[in-house]
Amino acid sequence: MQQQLMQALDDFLNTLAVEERISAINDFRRLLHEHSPFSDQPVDCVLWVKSSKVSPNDYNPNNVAPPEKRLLLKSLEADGFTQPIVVQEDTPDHFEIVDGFHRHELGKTRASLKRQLLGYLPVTCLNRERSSKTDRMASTIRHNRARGRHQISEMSEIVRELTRSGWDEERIGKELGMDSDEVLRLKQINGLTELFAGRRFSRAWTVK
Amino acid sequence: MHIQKQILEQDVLEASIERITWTLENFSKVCVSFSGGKDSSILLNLTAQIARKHNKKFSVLFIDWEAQFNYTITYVEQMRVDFQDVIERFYWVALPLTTQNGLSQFSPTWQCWEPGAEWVRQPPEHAITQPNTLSFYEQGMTFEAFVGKFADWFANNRPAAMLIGIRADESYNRFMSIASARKMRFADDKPWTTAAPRGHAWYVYPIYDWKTADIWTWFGKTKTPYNPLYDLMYQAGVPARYMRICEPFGPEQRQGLWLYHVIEPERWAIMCERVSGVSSGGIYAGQDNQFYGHRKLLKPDHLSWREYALLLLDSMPEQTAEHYRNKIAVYLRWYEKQGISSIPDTQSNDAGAKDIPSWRRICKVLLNNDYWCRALSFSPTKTSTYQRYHDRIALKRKEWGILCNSN
Repeated sequence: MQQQLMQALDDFLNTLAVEERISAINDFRRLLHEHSPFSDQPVDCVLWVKSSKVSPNDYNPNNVAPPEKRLLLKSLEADGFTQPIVVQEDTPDHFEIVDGFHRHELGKTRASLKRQLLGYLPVTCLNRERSSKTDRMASTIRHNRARGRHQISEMSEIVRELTRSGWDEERIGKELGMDSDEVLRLKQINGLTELFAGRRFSRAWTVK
Repeated sequence: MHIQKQILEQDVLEASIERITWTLENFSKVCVSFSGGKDSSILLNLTAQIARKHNKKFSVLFIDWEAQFNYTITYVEQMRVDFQDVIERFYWVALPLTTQNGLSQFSPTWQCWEPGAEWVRQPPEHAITQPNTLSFYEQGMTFEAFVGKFADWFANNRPAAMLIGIRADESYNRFMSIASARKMRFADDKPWTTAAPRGHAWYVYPIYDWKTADIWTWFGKTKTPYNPLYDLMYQAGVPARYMRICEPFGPEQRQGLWLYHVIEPERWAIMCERVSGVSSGGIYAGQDNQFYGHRKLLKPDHLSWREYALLLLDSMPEQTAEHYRNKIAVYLRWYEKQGISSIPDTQSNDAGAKDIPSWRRICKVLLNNDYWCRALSFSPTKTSTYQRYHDRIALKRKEWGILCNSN
């Protein structure tokens, strides 16, 4: 039975053009979601919707400065979208962002991402029953703030690992979004002379 | 040395009014040093009120650091306009000045309004931007040199007073600049005056005895407007004692750096491009952690403090390392001549305000990016003589056998 269904699904999807295929996949996902034992978990159903149907909220206090924004873009380009934008369906077929404003913005405006995403964004909807603005605001803040800070000594260990596997300071800085001072200090904190084997020798000197 | 505080009958406001009145009556030239911060704002407000009452005039010196909050600039401009009637001249200085950059080993000094650099913002039209406006000005001089020479220049061989809003409870150094028995006072009963090193200028500290709470009490009672940045800092949860507004990148000042990111994100963005280390400073400064050795001074287990200091030096950009090697060599040499042939790896209280020598203390200086090595009792080297100083000490190091390549 499952085998047959899969085959039928495969055949059916093959007949569809891109837009129709996305829409059909969304429908299937909604159906699967209804039957899923995890139907109370928003991430169980990630839908691809036209980015024009997704709008920012009017209260988000989170501000991302250019260095972080560059890193976010790098992250989206290197790893792709690894989690959906969290939204609430405010009017039928229209969504307000609860979390992921900056990813949404990059996905919507950066040419490279726009091409890859075909003008769509991955979203997951919060429970429709809790849809008041205060609920959404609280949810946004929880998303923004419930995350840790990197411990310096552990970061320093990671920089050591990367250095040992041949990454130079410039590459570490670029891939991890650190400025040169941060990379240097994290290496120094480790206290390992070998980490500086790559640096140039000091200037020679003589006396008259 | 133990210095005893004597409690007076007057409250701090009455006492300050008396001190400022005395200053305005006894000096023909008076200049208030103003930063836009809360302390110097009180000083400026009080001085303006008293000047109005006694029909006097005074000048104001404001050093515009380029990388400043818009809130501060707007507030300073407001003060300039509000007190126009009693201000003789408002010196809004937007000239290239060099100061330490506590955020970077790559660019350990920073120059505001550096020619050719892309500035964070433009100076206001009335600002002093032409180097020849102030005859004593030298291109890229240090902030410290500027302030000292400004006082002499302002005095112009006549007695003059520079009113400065520092308070003793801010730090040990500030307490000492009031309380030191060695400095020259104007008169015995005026410990809040200090003769400038040369010339005829006097530094006057009329609000030296105010506590932070007194400052806010005054603003609260009088409903005088203050820099709105303080409200934002308060909302951002910055403890009142840390609310400093001044040059942003020194080891003390970098504590508040992250606020730029929150309060003026656009300006923060430009600053990240303009000044080395701003981005990491925003992450690590303002917390007690080992990144800048702030309150948490750690070393790798497998090294002694001395070995760690040498590793830090060897791993730094060469020019920065040579700068520190010179300072440290002078420091070690001084102790040698005192009969201490080698300083201990660590000893008690060696990381505090008082200069108790150890390799641990030296590590603290290096981690702190304390470029002028103030914690080792150095003051900034003048920009114009730096190269000569640098080369001379580098040679001496070989003579002394301290921190030259053989050890």
